[in-house]
Amino acid sequence: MNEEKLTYKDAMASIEEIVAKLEDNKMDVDELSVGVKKVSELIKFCKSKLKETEAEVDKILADMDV
Amino acid sequence: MASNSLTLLELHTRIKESFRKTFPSAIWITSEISEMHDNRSGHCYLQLAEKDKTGEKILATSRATIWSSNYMMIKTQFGNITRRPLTAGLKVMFKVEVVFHVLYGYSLNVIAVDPSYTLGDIERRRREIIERLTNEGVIDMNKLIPFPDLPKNIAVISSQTAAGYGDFMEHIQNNTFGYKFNVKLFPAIMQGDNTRGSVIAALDSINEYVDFFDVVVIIRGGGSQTDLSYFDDYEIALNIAQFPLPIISGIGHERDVSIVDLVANLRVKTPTAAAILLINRFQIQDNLLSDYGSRLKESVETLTEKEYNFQNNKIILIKHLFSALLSKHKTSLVLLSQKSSYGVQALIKGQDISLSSYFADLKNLTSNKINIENMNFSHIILDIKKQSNFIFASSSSLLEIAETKMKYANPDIILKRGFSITRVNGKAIASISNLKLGDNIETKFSDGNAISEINKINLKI
Repeated sequence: MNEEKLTYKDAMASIEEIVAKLEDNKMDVDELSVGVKKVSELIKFCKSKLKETEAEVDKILADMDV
Repeated sequence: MASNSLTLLELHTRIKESFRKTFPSAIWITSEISEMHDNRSGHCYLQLAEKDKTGEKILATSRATIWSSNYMMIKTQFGNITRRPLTAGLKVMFKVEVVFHVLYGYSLNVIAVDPSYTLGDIERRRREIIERLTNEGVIDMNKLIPFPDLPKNIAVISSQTAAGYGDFMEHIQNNTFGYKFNVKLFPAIMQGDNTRGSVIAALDSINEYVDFFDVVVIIRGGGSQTDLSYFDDYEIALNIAQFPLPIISGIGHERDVSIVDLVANLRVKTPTAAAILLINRFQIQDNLLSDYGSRLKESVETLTEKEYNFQNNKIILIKHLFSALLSKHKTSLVLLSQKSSYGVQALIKGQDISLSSYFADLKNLTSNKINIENMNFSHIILDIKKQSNFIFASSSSLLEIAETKMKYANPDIILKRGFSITRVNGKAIASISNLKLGDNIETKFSDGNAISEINKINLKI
């Protein structure tokens, strides 16, 4: 998983896919832990997009010549 | 030299009289206001102009005055009905007194206006702009841009000092959910003649960072005066419609919809509403994430419970099968043991330790037994073979011996070696006791017989 290039939209799509697979009983026990781990990471990533600030962004905004 | 010339005053007096006769009372006229100046004393001086249909060529102009006695009332009435101030650029229906002053010349005194005419004209112009944008195929372009799930990086077009901008920032930065937005202001003049150029310049600046921003929010300067006319503008609307980022229009009014509102991706009535809209987008995603989280947990629980039950059922089933098998085999073991020797019994008891070892041992035992039996059988066969060989061999030698013995027992051969057979009355005599004196005995030799008489008998002592 390339964290840098992961977009919020892609992350949400992946979450939806895995959860749907789980709910449709299309995931077996062997895949379960991998799936759960991945979804947890993606949710964490998405939550951070909601609430965390990125220093780099602040710098970009400050550098804008307006 | 003509003697009937008039002085200027005489001329102006006549013109004035002519005006009075031609325009005995006030009349309604329509004209565009080309210039407008408020006087310190409360009077309003206007320059009126009529243009041709292209709007480029001026066909007629006139000065006009709204005296302070009328101005306040006219201004209020006009503003209330059209919801915009009486300003230059508007087409207005005036009730005017056509006057000619001997000293100042021709002028119009405005004593009333009909705001509904202006409304109609504005509406007509709006319709023209909308029609033009529609015909050019741009009117829905900004609306068609998908609104981002997380409008995190926001470019704001507003006046820095505007109350509306302050409201927006207050709501967006201090949202109770702790969502983080990155907001950058691109200052612009939001009313007056410079609105168009200023807003378009701000859009151009944002366009340089188009990859960075998610949305653009246009917030009107605020204040009580609601002049939206500058946003009923073709150029601004065209720029907004074609802008590559979705634009939220926050310049609206409770009742009015400007053309900018029409072409924007989304429109809200107030800057605060714009902030709430953006926060809501985050909330939707937040709720979605929470929902995914609980769905994940639920389905994992369901799945693990299902697996657990499945395994449990299997274990129970296996236990039943094993105990059934076990008791069956125990029974046969008991039966077997009853029939078996003590040694076997002890052996079986020894095996009855655990189920698994029992099965393994039972199998081993069985195969061992079979092996042992097989070996025994082979031994027996071998033994039989040996035995028969032996018997055969010994029989052969016995026969030889017998043959030899038989050979040596042949009376002819014995007779030849010097022995003889003695018979009395044809009967062979093996003991002297069978003879008595005077008996005639026949002695047989290998090559003939001799008859003798017994003269003496000596017994071996």
